[in-house]
Amino acid sequence: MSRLSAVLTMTLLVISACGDDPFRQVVDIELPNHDPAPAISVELVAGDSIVRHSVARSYGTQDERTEEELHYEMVLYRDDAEVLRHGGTTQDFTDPSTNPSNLVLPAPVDSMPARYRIEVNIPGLGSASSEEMMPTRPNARVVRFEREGALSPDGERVDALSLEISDPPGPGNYYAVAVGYRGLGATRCFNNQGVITCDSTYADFSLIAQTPNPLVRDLGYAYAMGLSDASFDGQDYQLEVQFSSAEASENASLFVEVFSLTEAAFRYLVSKEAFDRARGNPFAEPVTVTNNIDGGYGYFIVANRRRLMLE
Amino acid sequence: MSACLWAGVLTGQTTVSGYLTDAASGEALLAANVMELRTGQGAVANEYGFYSLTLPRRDSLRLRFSYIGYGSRDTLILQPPATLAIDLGLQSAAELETVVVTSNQGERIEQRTQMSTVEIPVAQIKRVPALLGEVDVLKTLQLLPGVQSGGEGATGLYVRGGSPDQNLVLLDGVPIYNVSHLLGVFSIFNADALRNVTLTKGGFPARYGGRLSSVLSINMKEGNLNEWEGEGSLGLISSKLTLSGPLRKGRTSVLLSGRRTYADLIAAPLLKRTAGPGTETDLGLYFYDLNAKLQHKVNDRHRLFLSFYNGSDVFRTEISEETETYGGGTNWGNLISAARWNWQVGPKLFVNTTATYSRYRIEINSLSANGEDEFRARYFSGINDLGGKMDFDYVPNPNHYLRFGTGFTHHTYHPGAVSLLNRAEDAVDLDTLIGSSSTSAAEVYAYLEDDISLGALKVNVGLHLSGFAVDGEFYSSLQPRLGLRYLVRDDWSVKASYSRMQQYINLLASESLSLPTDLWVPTTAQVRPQQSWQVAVGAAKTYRSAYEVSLEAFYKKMNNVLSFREGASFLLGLESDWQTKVTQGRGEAYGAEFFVQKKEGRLTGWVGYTLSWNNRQFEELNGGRAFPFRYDRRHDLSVVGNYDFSERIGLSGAFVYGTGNAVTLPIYTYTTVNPQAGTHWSNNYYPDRIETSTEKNSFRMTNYHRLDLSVSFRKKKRWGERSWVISVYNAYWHRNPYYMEVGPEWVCTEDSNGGTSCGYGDRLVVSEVSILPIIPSVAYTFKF
Repeated sequence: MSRLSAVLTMTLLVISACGDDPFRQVVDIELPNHDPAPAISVELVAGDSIVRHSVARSYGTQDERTEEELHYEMVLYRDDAEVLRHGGTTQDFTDPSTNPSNLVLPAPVDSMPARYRIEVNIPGLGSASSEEMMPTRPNARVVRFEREGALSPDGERVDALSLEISDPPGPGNYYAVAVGYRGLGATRCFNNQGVITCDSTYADFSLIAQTPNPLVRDLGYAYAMGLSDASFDGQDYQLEVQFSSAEASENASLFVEVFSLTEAAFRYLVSKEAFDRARGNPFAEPVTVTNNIDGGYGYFIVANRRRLMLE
Repeated sequence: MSACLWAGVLTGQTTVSGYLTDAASGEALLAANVMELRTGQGAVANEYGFYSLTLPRRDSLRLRFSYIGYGSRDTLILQPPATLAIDLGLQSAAELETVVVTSNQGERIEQRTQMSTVEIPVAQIKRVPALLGEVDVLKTLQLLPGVQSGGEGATGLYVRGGSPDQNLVLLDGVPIYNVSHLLGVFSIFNADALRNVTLTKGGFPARYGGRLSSVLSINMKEGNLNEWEGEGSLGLISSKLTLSGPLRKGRTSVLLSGRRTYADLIAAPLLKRTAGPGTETDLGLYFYDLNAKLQHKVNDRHRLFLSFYNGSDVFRTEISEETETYGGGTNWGNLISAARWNWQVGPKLFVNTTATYSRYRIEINSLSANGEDEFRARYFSGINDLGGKMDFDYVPNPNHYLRFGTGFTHHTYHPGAVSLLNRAEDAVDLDTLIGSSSTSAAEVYAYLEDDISLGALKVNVGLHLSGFAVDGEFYSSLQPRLGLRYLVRDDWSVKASYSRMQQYINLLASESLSLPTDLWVPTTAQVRPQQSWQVAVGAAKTYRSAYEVSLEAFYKKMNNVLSFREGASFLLGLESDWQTKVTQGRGEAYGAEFFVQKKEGRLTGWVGYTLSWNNRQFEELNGGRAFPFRYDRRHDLSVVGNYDFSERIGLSGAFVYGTGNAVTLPIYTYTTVNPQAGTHWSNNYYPDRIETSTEKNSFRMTNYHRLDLSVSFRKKKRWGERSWVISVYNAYWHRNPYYMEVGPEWVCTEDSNGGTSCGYGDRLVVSEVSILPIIPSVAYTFKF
């Protein structure tokens, strides 16, 4: 019996020593051939004078990534009328310092309902497009705001905000709520023959907010808290929000911004945030990031908004 | 045999009743058979060995008492009275020293009304080759058709398309929540302490409820009433010992059984040696199970039972140096207890009353202390159940067997909370509790069922009514049950069944891994009860008195099944409620199962094959489109065989084959820029790369197959019997995948200096990671 045990032990040791990693193997999974297509990201928000965009190409996950420069042309339509035409290359987006994504519009985006369409053509790769209706401007009001008027789950004093959203009848309305403040962005000073002149700009800053409401979905840093009208269609809905404005200076102006989103935009933001949270976590559920681009990938977000000052 | 004649009123009927037991130990024989040989009328003993058979009054009765694996006993009764009590002990075939194979030992498969049920003798479970020589009940059940494992090494049961939380696992009638040790590699059931194991996959009788997919009823031995006996084993990973015997012969018995692993006893000295001088180490790396049972026969009509189980997994390390202490660990386990009272009210009425307590708890802790500074974190969650039930068996005549009863359970759920203690010299002290508070719920049920004999047709019809109160909500459900069996000929029958089920409890688990941190959570005002209905049809036949063959087809529909939302993790963010992490949807499973089993003779074993489909649909997942469930296993084959060359040498083997699990793989990638919500002041530009797929679970892991072998060398000794069991798990070392991952390819290229530089490339490759290689083992078992 002792001889048998020794033989068994040696056998196990020898076998387990075979190969670099006996417990891991690369497998050939037949992934479907991927046809590369344009990957475009376009964001249009009412009141803005710019449209954010990026253009790239897609790859199969097992394909070699090539550093090719692809020229593209993008056209933005409003109710079939051309609003903006822009040409560039995919290489433009490899240098973030040049801020390639902001395109200046001839006029700020109108908050009136309209049909917006984006078309992108990349010669040699293909065309992609998307069409969305500008949602109606959200109807919301501040019911109550009190500095340090609530306790967070951690027991800290935080600001309390009660926001009422009036939902028009008809399903399929989606909202986002974000809190921020307008404060001193940057100050630049110039010395002109001994006379120093300073120029200050004001900018918007985001604040991290939370809510005890279980219906609210996380939409990421920019759009923050998302809400579907499935449970309050056609009714007024009160949302409790907590945040800390401690970082804002005394001169800062606090505000809450309510966005109306299309269903496609809402689904994209929910899935993208889930994807970001799952990144690097082997125990997380797999995420499929949605897209609303015909003939390609990415997103076309069209959003309306209302800003409510808190003080 | 002891017979007691009761004076009774002369009627046109005779009722024979009593208990059927093992002659040597006094253990009750569940489903033992009693038959009147002239009329063919018969009865089956219940799980406590009680039987009742009412026959037309005659000058004489010829009764045959039988049970599989035991010698049958024939009894002639002249001038039987109106009521007759016969308690009988049957001798096992092994004790008779001859193997007696008769055609009607026990109720044959074609005679049973109940379909979709498998009972595997514990003796057969012990012979199936086991991982590291550790006999495992759940691993054996995974070899049956319609039952799948979650993956390599996992003990979770996926029965006819259901998930592990849809199985009602009962140990002596008490629900158990976590049935795994070592992250699912072993189950908590010590086979030496068990009397019988029965799995019901469909056609649920009305007495069962609360789960959608299966009922796994496991009963502990009751203890030997006549003499002391014991058995045990010494293995590579664990050892166990079971003792059973009378405290008062024929009246009171006790059973004690324990099992413990000892990896820490081996590793602790090594850890201490490597820790260095002046360092104290404490290592805990083990699991244990303790089973205990007390039985007392008050008199012929009353019996009392107390049963107890405690088991736990412990992973712990703590290292103390001169000024610093750090460590952490996790432990989880179950504690259950039951008090039972059997009362034979009369020859036709039997009552069982049970009070139960079940507790599951998991704790993860971390400690770091340095001088005056101290940090402790402790995560804990669990579930407590306190309940009671009464079950009545009433046999008014041979054509009806009525069962009815009621039960109540008070649940307390602790979905997960963290306590933090932080004391530091230069910071504010923190001592707080974060996370979900506990939730209480009450569950009640009542049922009525009747087994009706109409000649060749037997019908089991019943109604199960349940209610659940939680969070100010009350859910109720009326669940009809129907089972039919038509005996086409003496040796084969066709069967059909319908059952509607509802459950009020859910297990939040990652589909990828089975972990003790999986949370048991109740139905709430927001999360509705899971529901299902299932139909099954089949045929059953016994060939040559030795082979039981069954063929069944089933269709099951499920509503309100739970899934994590995309991106959610079992490591729930404690800042938000678990209800925000889940979504509910529908499930559908259908397929066919073929099963042939041989229980006696030199060669025993079974072959099981399942062909099935299993899909899910959630509005929030996969764009609302249906997708294959992760455990959608198109083909599942198991072949298990035990062959006795002689009394001393036996060979066992098990081969399994299954289609790979469904997985989601990213198939394309692109670069995008994060939305900014119109903050046009910002010049920030955040490119981001996304890898994603179009369809959920549209790919398959490598097919799973494995061969396990074992050989046992038995020898009778003066004091009993001993065996050496040599086994090998995964004999040809097939790398069965545990999980899959996608990551950048590791690429090595030659550089300009002629050397080699390596790094991650852009191309993504798919890797499968396996965990269990070929594993030989040896164990020594003994019995006295």
